[in-house]
Amino acid sequence: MSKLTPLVRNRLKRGVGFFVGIVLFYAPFALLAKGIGLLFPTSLAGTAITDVHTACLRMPWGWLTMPWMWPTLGANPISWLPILVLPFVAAAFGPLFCGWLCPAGALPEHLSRIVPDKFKFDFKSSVEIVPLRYGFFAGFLLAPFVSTSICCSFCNFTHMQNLVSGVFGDFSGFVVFSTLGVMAATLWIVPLGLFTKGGRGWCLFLCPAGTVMGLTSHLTRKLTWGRRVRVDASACDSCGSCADVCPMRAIDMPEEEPTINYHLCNSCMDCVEACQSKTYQYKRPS
Amino acid sequence: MSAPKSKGLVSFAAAFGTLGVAAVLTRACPGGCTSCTTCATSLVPMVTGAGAVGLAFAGSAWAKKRGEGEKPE
Repeated sequence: MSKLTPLVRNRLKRGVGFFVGIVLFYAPFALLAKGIGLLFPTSLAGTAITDVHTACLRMPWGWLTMPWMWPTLGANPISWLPILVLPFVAAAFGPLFCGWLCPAGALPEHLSRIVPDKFKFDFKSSVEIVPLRYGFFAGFLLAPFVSTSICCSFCNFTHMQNLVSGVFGDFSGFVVFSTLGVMAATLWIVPLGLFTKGGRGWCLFLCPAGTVMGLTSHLTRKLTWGRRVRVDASACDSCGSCADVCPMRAIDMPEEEPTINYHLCNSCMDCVEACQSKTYQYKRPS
Repeated sequence: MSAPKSKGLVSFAAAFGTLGVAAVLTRACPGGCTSCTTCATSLVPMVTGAGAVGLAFAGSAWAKKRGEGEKPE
Protein backbone atom coordinates (compact mmCIF):
# COMPACT_ATOMS: atom_id res chain seq x y z
CA MET A 1 0.00 0.00 0.00
CA SER A 2 1.40 3.37 -0.96
CA LYS A 3 2.31 5.75 1.83
CA LEU A 4 -0.14 8.59 2.41
CA THR A 5 1.21 12.07 1.78
CA PRO A 6 1.24 14.52 4.73
CA LEU A 7 -1.54 16.50 3.01
CA VAL A 8 -3.80 13.44 2.71
CA ARG A 9 -3.04 12.48 6.32
CA ASN A 10 -3.99 16.01 7.42
CA ARG A 11 -7.25 15.82 5.47
CA LEU A 12 -8.03 12.45 7.03
CA LYS A 13 -7.47 13.95 10.48
CA ARG A 14 -9.83 16.78 9.58
CA GLY A 15 -12.29 14.14 8.39
CA VAL A 16 -12.23 12.68 11.91
CA GLY A 17 -12.92 16.22 13.19
CA PHE A 18 -15.99 16.29 10.92
CA PHE A 19 -17.49 13.30 12.75
CA VAL A 20 -16.47 14.66 16.16
CA GLY A 21 -18.29 17.89 15.23
CA ILE A 22 -21.43 15.94 14.31
CA VAL A 23 -21.40 14.09 17.64
CA LEU A 24 -20.82 17.31 19.58
CA PHE A 25 -23.34 19.59 17.89
CA TYR A 26 -25.95 17.65 15.93
CA ALA A 27 -28.95 15.59 17.05
CA PRO A 28 -29.48 12.78 17.81
CA PHE A 29 -26.13 13.11 19.65
CA ALA A 30 -25.67 16.85 20.43
CA LEU A 31 -23.36 15.99 23.32
CA LEU A 32 -22.34 19.60 23.91
CA ALA A 33 -25.89 20.86 24.33
CA LYS A 34 -26.82 17.85 26.47
CA GLY A 35 -23.74 18.35 28.66
CA ILE A 36 -24.47 22.04 29.19
CA GLY A 37 -28.13 21.12 29.84
CA LEU A 38 -26.99 18.85 32.68
CA LEU A 39 -24.86 21.64 34.15
CA PHE A 40 -27.57 24.32 33.74
CA PRO A 41 -30.91 22.46 33.82
CA THR A 42 -33.08 25.62 33.74
CA SER A 43 -31.30 27.08 30.70
CA LEU A 44 -32.24 26.67 27.03
CA ALA A 45 -29.93 23.65 26.76
CA GLY A 46 -31.66 22.03 29.72
CA THR A 47 -35.25 22.67 28.68
CA ALA A 48 -35.40 22.90 24.87
CA ILE A 49 -35.03 20.36 22.10
CA THR A 50 -31.37 19.39 22.02
CA ASP A 51 -30.07 19.73 18.49
CA VAL A 52 -27.82 22.15 16.66
CA HIS A 53 -30.31 24.98 17.25
CA THR A 54 -29.76 24.81 21.01
CA ALA A 55 -26.09 25.59 20.43
CA CYS A 56 -26.76 28.01 17.56
CA LEU A 57 -23.56 29.78 16.53
CA ARG A 58 -25.34 32.40 14.44
CA MET A 59 -28.32 33.89 16.26
CA PRO A 60 -26.50 35.00 19.44
CA TRP A 61 -24.64 37.46 17.21
CA GLY A 62 -27.96 38.75 15.92
CA TRP A 63 -29.32 38.87 19.50
CA LEU A 64 -26.52 41.26 20.45
CA THR A 65 -28.18 43.82 18.19
CA MET A 66 -31.64 43.16 19.71
CA PRO A 67 -31.95 44.47 23.30
CA TRP A 68 -35.17 42.49 23.84
CA MET A 69 -33.15 39.27 23.39
CA TRP A 70 -30.44 40.16 25.93
CA PRO A 71 -32.19 38.37 28.85
CA THR A 72 -32.35 35.20 26.74
CA LEU A 73 -28.70 35.62 25.88
CA GLY A 74 -27.66 36.17 29.48
CA ALA A 75 -29.66 33.24 30.84
CA ASN A 76 -28.29 30.68 28.41
CA PRO A 77 -24.64 29.80 28.86
CA ILE A 78 -24.61 27.91 25.56
CA SER A 79 -25.21 31.22 23.76
CA TRP A 80 -21.89 32.46 25.04
CA LEU A 81 -20.06 29.86 22.97
CA PRO A 82 -20.04 31.86 19.71
CA ILE A 83 -19.62 35.23 21.44
CA LEU A 84 -16.89 34.46 23.97
CA VAL A 85 -15.42 30.99 23.57
CA LEU A 86 -14.94 30.65 19.81
CA PRO A 87 -13.50 34.18 19.29
CA PHE A 88 -11.09 33.53 22.19
CA VAL A 89 -10.04 30.25 20.55
CA ALA A 90 -9.65 32.13 17.25
CA ALA A 91 -7.45 34.74 18.95
CA ALA A 92 -5.27 32.11 20.61
CA PHE A 93 -5.10 29.44 17.91
CA GLY A 94 -6.74 30.80 14.75
CA PRO A 95 -10.24 29.71 13.67
CA LEU A 96 -9.62 26.04 14.48
CA PHE A 97 -13.35 25.44 14.84
CA CYS A 98 -13.89 26.27 11.16
CA GLY A 99 -11.00 24.20 9.85
CA TRP A 100 -11.23 21.20 12.13
CA LEU A 101 -14.65 20.85 13.73
CA CYS A 102 -17.46 22.48 11.75
CA PRO A 103 -19.35 19.74 9.86
CA ALA A 104 -21.38 22.27 7.84
CA GLY A 105 -18.17 23.71 6.40
CA ALA A 106 -16.37 20.39 6.02
CA LEU A 107 -19.14 18.54 4.16
CA PRO A 108 -19.06 20.59 0.93
CA GLU A 109 -15.26 20.84 1.12
CA HIS A 110 -14.79 17.08 1.27
CA LEU A 111 -17.56 16.46 -1.29
CA SER A 112 -15.99 18.95 -3.69
CA ARG A 113 -12.96 16.68 -4.11
CA ILE A 114 -15.04 14.39 -6.31
CA VAL A 115 -15.44 17.19 -8.88
CA PRO A 116 -12.46 17.81 -11.18
CA ASP A 117 -10.85 21.24 -10.74
CA LYS A 118 -11.57 22.23 -14.34
CA PHE A 119 -15.30 22.38 -13.50
CA LYS A 120 -14.77 24.57 -10.41
CA PHE A 121 -14.99 28.33 -10.08
CA ASP A 122 -12.22 30.18 -8.24
CA PHE A 123 -13.85 33.22 -6.65
CA LYS A 124 -10.46 34.66 -5.70
CA SER A 125 -9.78 35.58 -9.28
CA SER A 126 -13.06 37.33 -9.95
CA VAL A 127 -14.54 38.95 -6.80
CA GLU A 128 -13.36 40.75 -3.67
CA ILE A 129 -13.90 37.96 -1.13
CA VAL A 130 -13.24 39.79 2.15
CA PRO A 131 -15.47 42.88 1.59
CA LEU A 132 -18.26 40.65 0.27
CA ARG A 133 -17.96 38.48 3.36
CA TYR A 134 -18.24 41.46 5.72
CA GLY A 135 -21.04 42.96 3.63
CA PHE A 136 -23.12 39.80 3.92
CA PHE A 137 -22.36 39.71 7.65
CA ALA A 138 -23.61 43.29 8.06
CA GLY A 139 -26.74 42.29 6.13
CA PHE A 140 -27.18 39.30 8.46
CA LEU A 141 -27.06 41.60 11.50
CA LEU A 142 -29.64 43.86 9.86
CA ALA A 143 -31.98 41.06 8.80
CA PRO A 144 -33.73 40.45 12.17
CA PHE A 145 -34.96 44.06 12.15
CA VAL A 146 -36.60 43.88 8.74
CA SER A 147 -37.45 40.22 8.21
CA THR A 148 -38.49 37.32 10.37
CA SER A 149 -37.75 34.63 7.86
CA ILE A 150 -34.32 35.09 6.38
CA CYS A 151 -31.91 34.17 9.18
CA CYS A 152 -32.85 30.58 9.88
CA SER A 153 -33.72 29.72 6.28
CA PHE A 154 -30.37 31.16 5.22
CA CYS A 155 -28.52 28.81 7.57
CA ASN A 156 -26.41 25.88 6.49
CA PHE A 157 -26.25 24.55 10.08
CA THR A 158 -30.01 23.96 9.86
CA HIS A 159 -29.64 22.09 6.59
CA MET A 160 -26.74 20.05 7.99
CA GLN A 161 -28.96 19.13 10.96
CA ASN A 162 -31.70 18.01 8.54
CA LEU A 163 -29.19 15.82 6.72
CA VAL A 164 -27.81 14.25 9.91
CA SER A 165 -31.32 13.68 11.28
CA GLY A 166 -32.35 12.18 7.94
CA VAL A 167 -29.46 9.69 8.10
CA PHE A 168 -30.86 8.56 11.48
CA GLY A 169 -34.41 8.28 10.14
CA ASP A 170 -35.89 11.59 11.28
CA PHE A 171 -37.16 13.55 8.27
CA SER A 172 -39.24 16.08 10.22
CA GLY A 173 -36.83 18.90 9.33
CA PHE A 174 -37.61 18.56 5.64
CA VAL A 175 -41.35 18.98 6.27
CA VAL A 176 -40.89 22.62 7.26
CA PHE A 177 -38.50 23.41 4.44
CA SER A 178 -39.13 26.94 3.12
CA THR A 179 -38.44 27.90 -0.49
CA LEU A 180 -35.61 30.10 0.74
CA GLY A 181 -34.29 27.09 2.64
CA VAL A 182 -34.29 25.03 -0.56
CA MET A 183 -32.32 27.78 -2.31
CA ALA A 184 -29.84 28.15 0.57
CA ALA A 185 -29.27 24.38 0.86
CA THR A 186 -28.70 24.11 -2.88
CA LEU A 187 -26.37 27.10 -2.88
CA TRP A 188 -24.42 25.64 0.06
CA ILE A 189 -23.80 22.25 -1.54
CA VAL A 190 -23.80 22.83 -5.29
CA PRO A 191 -22.47 26.15 -6.64
CA LEU A 192 -20.68 27.23 -3.43
CA GLY A 193 -19.57 23.68 -2.58
CA LEU A 194 -19.11 21.12 -5.34
CA PHE A 195 -18.31 23.69 -8.01
CA THR A 196 -16.19 26.11 -5.98
CA LYS A 197 -12.42 25.79 -5.82
CA GLY A 198 -11.75 24.61 -2.24
CA GLY A 199 -15.42 23.73 -1.66
CA ARG A 200 -15.92 26.37 1.02
CA GLY A 201 -17.81 29.08 -0.83
CA TRP A 202 -20.49 29.25 1.86
CA CYS A 203 -17.83 29.66 4.56
CA LEU A 204 -16.14 32.38 2.50
CA PHE A 205 -19.21 34.51 1.96
CA LEU A 206 -22.23 33.59 4.04
CA CYS A 207 -21.21 32.12 7.40
CA PRO A 208 -21.53 34.76 10.16
CA ALA A 209 -19.74 32.59 12.74
CA GLY A 210 -16.77 32.13 10.40
CA THR A 211 -16.74 35.85 9.62
CA VAL A 212 -16.51 36.79 13.29
CA MET A 213 -13.73 34.27 13.89
CA GLY A 214 -11.87 35.41 10.77
CA LEU A 215 -12.07 39.03 11.92
CA THR A 216 -10.88 38.07 15.41
CA SER A 217 -8.04 36.03 13.95
CA HIS A 218 -6.96 38.94 11.74
CA LEU A 219 -7.11 41.57 14.49
CA THR A 220 -5.15 39.42 16.95
CA ARG A 221 -2.66 37.90 14.53
CA LYS A 222 0.30 39.75 16.07
CA LEU A 223 -0.42 38.87 19.70
CA THR A 224 2.64 37.21 21.16
CA TRP A 225 0.55 34.29 22.48
CA GLY A 226 -1.47 33.83 19.32
CA ARG A 227 -0.68 30.79 17.22
CA ARG A 228 -1.33 31.00 13.50
CA VAL A 229 -0.01 29.50 10.29
CA ARG A 230 3.07 31.71 9.64
CA VAL A 231 5.06 32.18 6.47
CA ASP A 232 8.84 32.10 6.10
CA ALA A 233 9.02 33.62 2.62
CA SER A 234 12.77 33.03 2.39
CA ALA A 235 12.18 29.27 2.27
CA CYS A 236 9.60 29.48 -0.53
CA ASP A 237 10.41 28.02 -3.92
CA SER A 238 7.29 29.64 -5.49
CA CYS A 239 5.77 26.32 -6.54
CA GLY A 240 2.27 27.58 -5.64
CA SER A 241 1.09 24.28 -4.15
CA CYS A 242 0.02 26.06 -0.94
CA ALA A 243 -2.30 28.48 -2.74
CA ASP A 244 -3.66 25.59 -4.80
CA VAL A 245 -4.64 23.39 -1.84
CA CYS A 246 -5.99 26.18 0.42
CA PRO A 247 -9.74 25.56 0.78
CA MET A 248 -10.32 29.15 1.96
CA ARG A 249 -8.37 30.76 -0.94
CA ALA A 250 -6.42 32.63 1.74
CA ILE A 251 -2.96 32.47 0.16
CA ASP A 252 -1.77 35.01 -2.38
CA MET A 253 1.52 34.90 -4.25
CA PRO A 254 2.31 38.53 -5.14
CA GLU A 255 5.77 38.67 -6.74
CA GLU A 256 6.15 34.91 -6.16
CA GLU A 257 6.21 35.30 -2.35
CA PRO A 258 3.29 33.85 -0.39
CA THR A 259 1.17 35.89 2.01
CA ILE A 260 -1.69 34.65 4.18
CA ASN A 261 -4.95 36.57 4.48
CA TYR A 262 -5.92 36.02 8.11
CA HIS A 263 -9.45 37.28 7.46
CA LEU A 264 -9.93 34.01 5.58
CA CYS A 265 -7.40 31.45 6.90
CA ASN A 266 -9.13 28.80 9.05
CA SER A 267 -5.94 27.12 10.34
CA CYS A 268 -6.69 23.86 8.54
CA MET A 269 -2.91 23.33 8.02
CA ASP A 270 -3.29 21.96 4.49
CA CYS A 271 -0.67 24.48 3.30
CA VAL A 272 1.71 23.46 6.11
CA GLU A 273 1.48 19.83 5.02
CA ALA A 274 1.47 20.46 1.26
CA CYS A 275 4.59 22.66 1.23
CA GLN A 276 7.74 20.65 0.66
CA SER A 277 10.09 23.56 1.36
CA LYS A 278 8.70 24.06 4.90
CA THR A 279 7.64 27.65 4.18
CA TYR A 280 4.69 27.37 6.58
CA GLN A 281 4.72 26.71 10.29
CA TYR A 282 1.97 26.84 12.87
CA LYS A 283 3.44 28.95 15.63
CA ARG A 284 3.49 32.24 17.55
CA PRO A 285 4.78 35.35 15.77
CA SER A 286 8.56 35.47 15.65
CA MET B 1 -10.07 57.08 -3.28
CA SER B 2 -7.60 54.40 -4.33
CA ALA B 3 -8.78 51.65 -6.66
CA PRO B 4 -8.34 48.79 -4.15
CA LYS B 5 -10.39 50.67 -1.54
CA SER B 6 -13.20 51.49 -3.95
CA LYS B 7 -13.30 47.84 -5.08
CA GLY B 8 -13.68 46.78 -1.47
CA LEU B 9 -16.32 49.40 -0.68
CA VAL B 10 -18.39 48.56 -3.74
CA SER B 11 -18.22 44.86 -2.86
CA PHE B 12 -19.19 45.51 0.77
CA ALA B 13 -22.06 47.77 -0.27
CA ALA B 14 -23.25 45.28 -2.89
CA ALA B 15 -23.39 42.45 -0.35
CA PHE B 16 -24.92 44.53 2.44
CA GLY B 17 -27.42 46.31 0.22
CA THR B 18 -28.67 43.33 -1.74
CA LEU B 19 -28.99 41.08 1.31
CA GLY B 20 -30.77 43.91 3.15
CA VAL B 21 -33.22 44.40 0.30
CA ALA B 22 -33.73 40.64 0.06
CA ALA B 23 -34.44 40.50 3.80
CA VAL B 24 -37.21 43.09 3.34
CA LEU B 25 -38.64 41.39 0.26
CA THR B 26 -38.56 37.92 1.80
CA ARG B 27 -40.75 38.94 4.70
CA ALA B 28 -43.27 36.29 3.80
CA CYS B 29 -43.62 35.05 7.36
CA PRO B 30 -45.55 37.28 9.79
CA GLY B 31 -43.83 35.51 12.68
CA GLY B 32 -45.16 32.86 15.04
CA CYS B 33 -45.80 29.77 12.94
CA THR B 34 -49.47 29.15 12.21
CA SER B 35 -48.70 26.37 9.69
CA CYS B 36 -49.90 28.65 6.89
CA THR B 37 -47.21 27.13 4.54
CA THR B 38 -46.49 30.53 2.98
CA CYS B 39 -42.77 30.06 3.60
CA ALA B 40 -42.86 26.67 1.94
CA THR B 41 -44.82 27.65 -1.14
CA SER B 42 -44.02 31.26 -2.02
CA LEU B 43 -41.25 31.56 -4.56
CA VAL B 44 -40.56 35.19 -3.62
CA PRO B 45 -38.06 34.39 -0.84
CA MET B 46 -36.21 31.89 -3.03
CA VAL B 47 -35.95 34.22 -6.00
CA THR B 48 -34.99 37.31 -3.99
CA GLY B 49 -32.50 35.37 -1.86
CA ALA B 50 -30.74 33.86 -4.86
CA GLY B 51 -30.95 37.19 -6.67
CA ALA B 52 -29.34 38.99 -3.74
CA VAL B 53 -26.35 36.68 -3.63
CA GLY B 54 -25.99 36.74 -7.42
CA LEU B 55 -26.26 40.53 -7.61
CA ALA B 56 -23.68 41.02 -4.87
CA PHE B 57 -21.22 38.75 -6.69
CA ALA B 58 -21.89 40.54 -9.95
CA GLY B 59 -21.34 43.93 -8.29
CA SER B 60 -18.06 42.80 -6.77
CA ALA B 61 -16.86 41.25 -10.04
CA TRP B 62 -17.71 44.49 -11.87
CA ALA B 63 -15.83 46.58 -9.27
CA LYS B 64 -12.83 44.28 -9.37
CA LYS B 65 -12.68 44.30 -13.15
CA ARG B 66 -13.06 48.07 -13.22
CA GLY B 67 -10.45 48.47 -10.46
CA GLU B 68 -7.91 46.40 -12.36
CA GLY B 69 -7.99 48.98 -15.14
CA GLU B 70 -7.17 51.80 -12.72
CA LYS B 71 -3.84 52.72 -11.20
CA PRO B 72 -3.78 52.71 -7.38
CA GLU B 73 -3.00 56.18 -6.01
